[in-house]
Amino acid sequence: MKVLLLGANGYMGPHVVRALAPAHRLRITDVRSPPEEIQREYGEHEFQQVDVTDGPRVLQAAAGMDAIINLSVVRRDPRLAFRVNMLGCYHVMQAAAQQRIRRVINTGPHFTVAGPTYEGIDFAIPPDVPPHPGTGLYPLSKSLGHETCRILAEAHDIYVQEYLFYSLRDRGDLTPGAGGVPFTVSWRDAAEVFRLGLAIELADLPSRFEVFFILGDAPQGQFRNDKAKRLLGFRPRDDVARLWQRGAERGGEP
Amino acid sequence: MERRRFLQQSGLAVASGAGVLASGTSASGAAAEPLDAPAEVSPKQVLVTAAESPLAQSLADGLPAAWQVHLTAKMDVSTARPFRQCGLEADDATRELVRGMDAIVHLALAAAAEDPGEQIDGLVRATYNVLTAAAAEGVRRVVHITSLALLQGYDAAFAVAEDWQPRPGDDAAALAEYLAECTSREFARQRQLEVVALRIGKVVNAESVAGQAFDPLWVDQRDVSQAVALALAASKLAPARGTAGWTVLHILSDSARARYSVNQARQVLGYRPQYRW
Repeated sequence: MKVLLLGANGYMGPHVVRALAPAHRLRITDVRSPPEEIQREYGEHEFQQVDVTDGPRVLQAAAGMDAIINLSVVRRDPRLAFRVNMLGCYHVMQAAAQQRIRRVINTGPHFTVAGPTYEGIDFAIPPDVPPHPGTGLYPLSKSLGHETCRILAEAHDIYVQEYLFYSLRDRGDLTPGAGGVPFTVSWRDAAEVFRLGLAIELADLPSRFEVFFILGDAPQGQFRNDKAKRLLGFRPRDDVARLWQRGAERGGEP
Repeated sequence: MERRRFLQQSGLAVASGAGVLASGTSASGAAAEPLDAPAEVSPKQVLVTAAESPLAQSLADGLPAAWQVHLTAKMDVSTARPFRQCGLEADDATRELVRGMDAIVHLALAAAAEDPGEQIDGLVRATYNVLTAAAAEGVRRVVHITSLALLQGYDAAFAVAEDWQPRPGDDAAALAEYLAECTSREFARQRQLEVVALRIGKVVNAESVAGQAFDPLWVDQRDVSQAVALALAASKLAPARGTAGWTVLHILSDSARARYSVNQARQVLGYRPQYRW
């Protein structure tokens, strides 16, 4: 499959490239030039500089692709957060519609939907809840991008998978007793879900806009990952539950 | 009777034309109670955005004397009213603009633009910035003016009401207005602002469209002014459902051929449209 990656120079991008490169033909893009080691390692793939706030440029980059994965994000700049997180989604969806690309994977933080009125209050929170992002710049601008994707997926023949993350860790950092937020996944498992998302038959998705919480098997039961397991076949390999094992915080193995 | 007195005192009956409101029936018991505004009390301060638009000018002219109207726009506008040009960016200028205001009438209607993406970004970002500033400066109420185009995805056979999910479709202007409304809703949900979202139809002047083919989305600009004045003045909003602090109402004529019902606005605000076709 020919896959356009947008925002591929961020934290997530290199992991996704590593997971997809063996089986797909990638067009790896970002607003900045990719790191030299990535270019060297994945030289058989294509690299371009693309700014998601530039609609014609996104349209051009999407030409000939079978799928778009949008990893772009801005968290703090009050102007760019809207232009990248919201307007970028508009450009992605317009490009998909015009280039007849039916498979889009968009990404964001968990509080794109599960903001302060859910988190810290509820348990067993599934991804299919009405978005309550709150008024923070990052979650709200991402949530408006999410809504843009949903609305335009309804209007066009495009299937959007929205993957939401929170805390991402290296496998080696899943130290027993270290603790953390109850929505944690390893980079390796996070990247794997993109491979699954490209493999799934679109007709097997219940609707043209599906949201997935991507987390390991955290023991708290605050957020649910069963939808990703059920629909995508997600099987987290790295044990995040050990982060909360008793006894380990005193230095001993549980 | 209390409502009638308020409307007369505030000048709304005159602004709405022909004294029709003064001779109308009083509001139902379910309607919001207006704040009394004795003549000796200093006027409250209200900021109206998008001052370059005819609707903003019309609202400024139509609001009762209980409100001192300040205008703002991203471009320079010639007006006799207090006016400040402001880009509504995330900066001190926007904070200073809203400082001291009791309320804001934010016209969150997508302006015509060559680039649909810029249309979306411009409206939504300005909305976020003005609401963030308003929350920080302790502004109590925002009347968020948006459009019934948010519901254009529904078949005309349906009697669509305020509690139907918006369906703006692939229209950049309607999408921009929908996203701006989502933004306001979060400020209300977080109890940072009290927001009354008025989704309005196509604003016209009844006299100027006389003889034209009827449009079921028509609303006279004076009826919009009436709705905004009521939304500003209501001391206690009583939506049939939903969160306190978040009220959505449809504002157009109450013509039997109108596309949407105004019953909710009638019940919550005591809205009585005076122009019908």
